[in-house]
Amino acid sequence: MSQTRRDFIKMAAALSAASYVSMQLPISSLNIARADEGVNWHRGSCRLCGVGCRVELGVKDGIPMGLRGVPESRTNFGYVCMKGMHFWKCMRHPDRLTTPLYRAKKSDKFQEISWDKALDLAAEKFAEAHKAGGGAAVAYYGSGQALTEETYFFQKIMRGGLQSNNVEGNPRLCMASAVGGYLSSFGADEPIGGYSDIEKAHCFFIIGSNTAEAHPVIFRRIMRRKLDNPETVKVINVDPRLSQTSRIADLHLQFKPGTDLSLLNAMAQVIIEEKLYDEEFIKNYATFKKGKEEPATFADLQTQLAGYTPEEVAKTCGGSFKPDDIRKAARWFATSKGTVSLWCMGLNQRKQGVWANNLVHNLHILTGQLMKDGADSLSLTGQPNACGGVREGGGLCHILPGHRPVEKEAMRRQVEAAWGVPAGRIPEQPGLHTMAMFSAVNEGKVKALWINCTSPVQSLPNCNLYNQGMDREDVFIVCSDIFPTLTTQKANLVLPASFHFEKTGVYGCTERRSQLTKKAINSPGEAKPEVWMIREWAKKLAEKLGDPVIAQCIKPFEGLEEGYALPKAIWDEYTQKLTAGRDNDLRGATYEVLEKMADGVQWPAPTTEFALTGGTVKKFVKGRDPMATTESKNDLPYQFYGPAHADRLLWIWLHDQASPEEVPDGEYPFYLSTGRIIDHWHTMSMTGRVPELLRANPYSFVEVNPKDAERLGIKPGDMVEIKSRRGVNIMPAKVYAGPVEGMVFAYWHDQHGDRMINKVTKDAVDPGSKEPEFKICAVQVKRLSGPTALTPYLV
Amino acid sequence: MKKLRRLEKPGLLLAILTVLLAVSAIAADRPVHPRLSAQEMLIDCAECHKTVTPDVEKEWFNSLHGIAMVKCYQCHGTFETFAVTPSRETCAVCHRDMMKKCSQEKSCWECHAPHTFTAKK
Repeated sequence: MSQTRRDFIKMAAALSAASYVSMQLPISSLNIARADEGVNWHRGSCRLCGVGCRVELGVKDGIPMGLRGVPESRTNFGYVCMKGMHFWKCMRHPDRLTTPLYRAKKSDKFQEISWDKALDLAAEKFAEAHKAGGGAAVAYYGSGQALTEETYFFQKIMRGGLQSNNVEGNPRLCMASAVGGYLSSFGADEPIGGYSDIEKAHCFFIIGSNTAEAHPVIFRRIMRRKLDNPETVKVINVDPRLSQTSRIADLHLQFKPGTDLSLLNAMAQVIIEEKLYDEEFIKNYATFKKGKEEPATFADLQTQLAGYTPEEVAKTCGGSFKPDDIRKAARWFATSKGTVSLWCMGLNQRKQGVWANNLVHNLHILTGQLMKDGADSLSLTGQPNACGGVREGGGLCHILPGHRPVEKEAMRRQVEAAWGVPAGRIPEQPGLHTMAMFSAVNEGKVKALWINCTSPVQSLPNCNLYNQGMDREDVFIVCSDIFPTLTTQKANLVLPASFHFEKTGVYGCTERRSQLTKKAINSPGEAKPEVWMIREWAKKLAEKLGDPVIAQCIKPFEGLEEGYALPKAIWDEYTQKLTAGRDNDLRGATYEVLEKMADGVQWPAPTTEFALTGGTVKKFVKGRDPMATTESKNDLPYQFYGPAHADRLLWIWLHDQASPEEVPDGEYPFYLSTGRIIDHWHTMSMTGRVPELLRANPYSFVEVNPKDAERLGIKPGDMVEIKSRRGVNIMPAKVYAGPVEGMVFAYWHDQHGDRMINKVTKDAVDPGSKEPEFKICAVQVKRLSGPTALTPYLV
Repeated sequence: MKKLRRLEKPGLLLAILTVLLAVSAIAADRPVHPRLSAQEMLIDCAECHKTVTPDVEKEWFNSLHGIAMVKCYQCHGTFETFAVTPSRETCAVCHRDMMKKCSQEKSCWECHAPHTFTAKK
């Protein structure tokens, strides 16, 4: 069923008749691109998504004028998507936060205050909480969009200064399962290869990723590879939803949500049964595991997989493809000259997220589709600095800078020594992971919380539950951001932050690549870089707590100018002292080197000479990765020196199919999944303020399969209620043969309370990674009315 | 390759646009987009153009731009900034390297057919 002419007339009439409440969508000289003379172009990275496109911001007389791609960059070769093309237009938006705002009670109105007063209050409240409850009573919740210098500096003050490992960030919500997968399969976080494998691949296995919309510039590279080689390059798309990504697929396997572990096991079963595995690679580099301390054998795997025949699994997956389609996928995967797998939230945001990652890695290890050009198991990262800042810089409760686990004493001692703080200063237990942190907020156990550059009010799953805690008057919330958000509405203190290109720092993207963006324009009003806020706040904290160790944490950075010298000093401390000898060795990637490179440096890059070549394209390969040589233990060409596997082997895991936390039943008969659309970024606080982007997708829709729509009497544009055991949304329908029958799919960007889908999603977490299962829950779906005029909504 | 099923063509805006096209052209110094209400501006360009300019929309949808989701507004701007013919500078946002390789004397469209991008005139 699709939209009829009559339906459209009805919808358009309803829309035209409605009163339209205007939003702040000014088109003015501040957001129209101009090609005037005298424009200076400043190189940096795109602010949005994890691809890491290099761009140049055009500036004239201190005003941003336009943006363009950098053709010499190996990430994007000059291309940008519409978000990258337009994000500069929000830089001078009138909604920018420009003055510190404070209110003692959350029911009060905000008052403008000075920076000195604001930071004094922040320090007073954190000191008060710390005196009463120690490190457990304070917390930092950051972002995969914060610069590495910011995340590193925040966690230094929290751990070394306030003795708290309550350091978290929104990458817990998107990448934690990928981290768990890489560590448990390969012994080291982050991909072995990178984007350069795309142009050499002969098979793409895209699972749980709508690459076309979530990572458009990477999709362009895959598309180009496929369309230039239509017969010899195969694209397999595995997803419960047909998406724009499916347009280039040779084979699409559409499965019932949550059954993909079976599907991956079935592919492994075919690979073994048809002897498509690489015996030599497995013998030299792999071992088998049932559990971390429970070894297994190839025969054990063979026995375990015997139950995953294509015939059985095709049924398990819902019967929308044939058993032979699984065989075809397995054969293409195993026998191609090079296979690259790509996945994102479809695998990560799951209760079985780590296992799903392991099972993709299994296919690569079994077939030897690793280490060679054109082959890689490549997790796509959602945010621009989830890898560089948070995974590498110590931005999660269980990891210290340089991929160091908190629980290892030797690791803590190394960090304490580097900071010049007493041994034992960093608590030995990891802090609270994201969902536990906001549960502690709900319980009033965390008394002072700093939220930086993210909006958990909208982005946490089952957000109604967690928003209750943020409303508590006994929880003091500091929020640093560039625009008002649903989260700044819960804050006591709102600190106006400098935006991208208004400050200097490094982003590290999907493929271990660190890239510098230098300050090109001044911040509006009194907005300040976060690194300045942290230093000045910590200075006051040291005074209020009478703690010289906190003062020690900021001593190397005293007096430095915040636009360049301060972040440079922070970067130098982090890279020179804390990545030395680690698998993400960035000592060669100094600011001076990064400034010379069109597209930054891929780690490991222990020396500046090596960093100036671009760094390590393929990890663990002697002759290509300098650490594979220095860490070599034998004559084999590949050396898996990652910190998590003492046996230096790749681990093939025996995992069975396991169900999501919540599956449809008689009361809640539909699967709900959520995701991105191409025009918007996360909670829309930036992209919603760009007229072109807002108009392209002004509010959330729910996609309903035509067969389901027919049964439910839903027509295009009808208002539909989506209700789970946790919350309810009402949004217009798109009737579209995208989601598999029995599943609906909603966009998650909308800030409006009726259309904020995380009120509906589930907060079950993966037991290993603690990443929530955003992607699957059970809902009721009901038509409420015909089309209704809606107003886009931003705080 | 999998073909996505697409929404059928909207109808009403064809009539609206036909009328407004004439109105909008009267006082314009440059080609402008037919006037729409703020609410109508929230409908995706391609949805209307499936009806208004079906051949153009189809060419775009099947082109490299269409597959890669380079949308109408990236080249043509939004209503207030609308340009029937994108400037070289707009193309250069992504294709700066080609600006050096291609003729400086010609517009991009003299060699690259609009919306299909594959055929050369």
